[in-house]
Amino acid sequence: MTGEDKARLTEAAAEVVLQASQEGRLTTGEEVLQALVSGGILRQGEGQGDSDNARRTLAGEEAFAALAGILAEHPRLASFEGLSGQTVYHCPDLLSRTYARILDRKGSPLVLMAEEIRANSRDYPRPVPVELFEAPPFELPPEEIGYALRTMAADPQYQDITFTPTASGVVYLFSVLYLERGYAAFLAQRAESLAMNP
Amino acid sequence: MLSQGTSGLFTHWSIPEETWSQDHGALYWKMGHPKHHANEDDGQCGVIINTQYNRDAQCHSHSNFVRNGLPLEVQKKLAAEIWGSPDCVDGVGDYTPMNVHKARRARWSLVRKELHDSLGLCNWMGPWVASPLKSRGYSGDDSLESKFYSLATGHKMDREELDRMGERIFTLHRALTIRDMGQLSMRTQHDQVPRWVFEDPSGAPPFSKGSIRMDQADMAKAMDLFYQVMGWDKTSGAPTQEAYSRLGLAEVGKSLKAKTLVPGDKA
Repeated sequence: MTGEDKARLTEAAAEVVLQASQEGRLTTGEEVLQALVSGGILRQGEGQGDSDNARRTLAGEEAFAALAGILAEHPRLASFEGLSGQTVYHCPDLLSRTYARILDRKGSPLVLMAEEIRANSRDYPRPVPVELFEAPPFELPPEEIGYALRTMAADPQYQDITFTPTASGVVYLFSVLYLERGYAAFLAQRAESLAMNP
Repeated sequence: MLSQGTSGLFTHWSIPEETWSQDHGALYWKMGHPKHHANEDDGQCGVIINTQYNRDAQCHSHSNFVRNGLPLEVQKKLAAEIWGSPDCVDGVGDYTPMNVHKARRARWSLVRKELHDSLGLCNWMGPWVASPLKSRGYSGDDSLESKFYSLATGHKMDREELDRMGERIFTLHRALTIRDMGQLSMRTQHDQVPRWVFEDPSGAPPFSKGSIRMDQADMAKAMDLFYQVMGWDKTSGAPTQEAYSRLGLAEVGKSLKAKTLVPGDKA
């Protein structure tokens, strides 16, 4: 691959990730490869082929490895290993790592909810209202939230996840690893009062 | 009726000030006006700010910072950069004893509020010392007001100089209060704290996690430190002649001196 070829391939591959991030989606290497092939930037085939403008014919594995290297080196792109074990790509300028993690975990509501609850209890610190998970970017159906909470209650891995109700009946979730029950109850009540104390 | 303020309205509705002042819903402050982002949001800093006005404080400089949505450790990092110590910010309802950095943050909050009101900027939105951007280390721009001012007027002024203007406005406001109350002892007669600030409905002691109860001795220290960073007299809580002069308000000080309303005057 000539330097010019590589530059064109890099630009095209990055554009696929940037476009996905712009639309609020993560991208896998496979998806980038497919986009380049369907866009005629890359031809997949057997063995090395000749150069025809930016088009290249590369063996599948070689193309994938070359692409992974190109994406890893790109200054505007970032990647991490997703829940599926695949490397996923995003552009932090357009789609933050926090948001990217949420999107990646959407396939596993249990992990998504537990990690979000733990992070909020640990970092801010704050409990989160259960309705949070119905809103974007989580967008979990209420029955799925209920199922996840029931599963957590029975699973030893999630025994730190618990809840506190406010006086108005709103349920807030928190992790006892990072928040004491009494303090979580105080913070939940306060969160409920913020709208009345702008 | 509206001109009589909150107290006038409540009295009209047969809710006397004595009843209102015991409200643990944390609405009453002092002298017939309600609180505005006091210890329920920002511990000693919120209390200091609420002592300083003749109505509900309408100051959001401090509450906008503690409510900016950043993790506590990030807030503390920014606080160290801006006010000199991470200890000038506490988690809400997880308050720690007073320190001079909290007094500096209270002073900054008040000065910026006065600036915003005078510049036509919204103190409900600013100041802008925090950012959601990780690439900026979550730092905003503590000089944004002076940059706006310089751009809009063509009169170049840096942050320190503009803050001095804000301090002058606030000090003039203080002088007007002293003159119109005919009272030098601002600390006891004006800068009051309602009883509920020192109580907890569950009886939790001050500095308990999950309580907004303040400690009386600690708040006395807080006021000492606040008057100190303002360059005011600690006993009376009033600006000294030096404080007026430093801000270009020597004549204001002199006119108050004629009424024995400057610390050190003989009656």
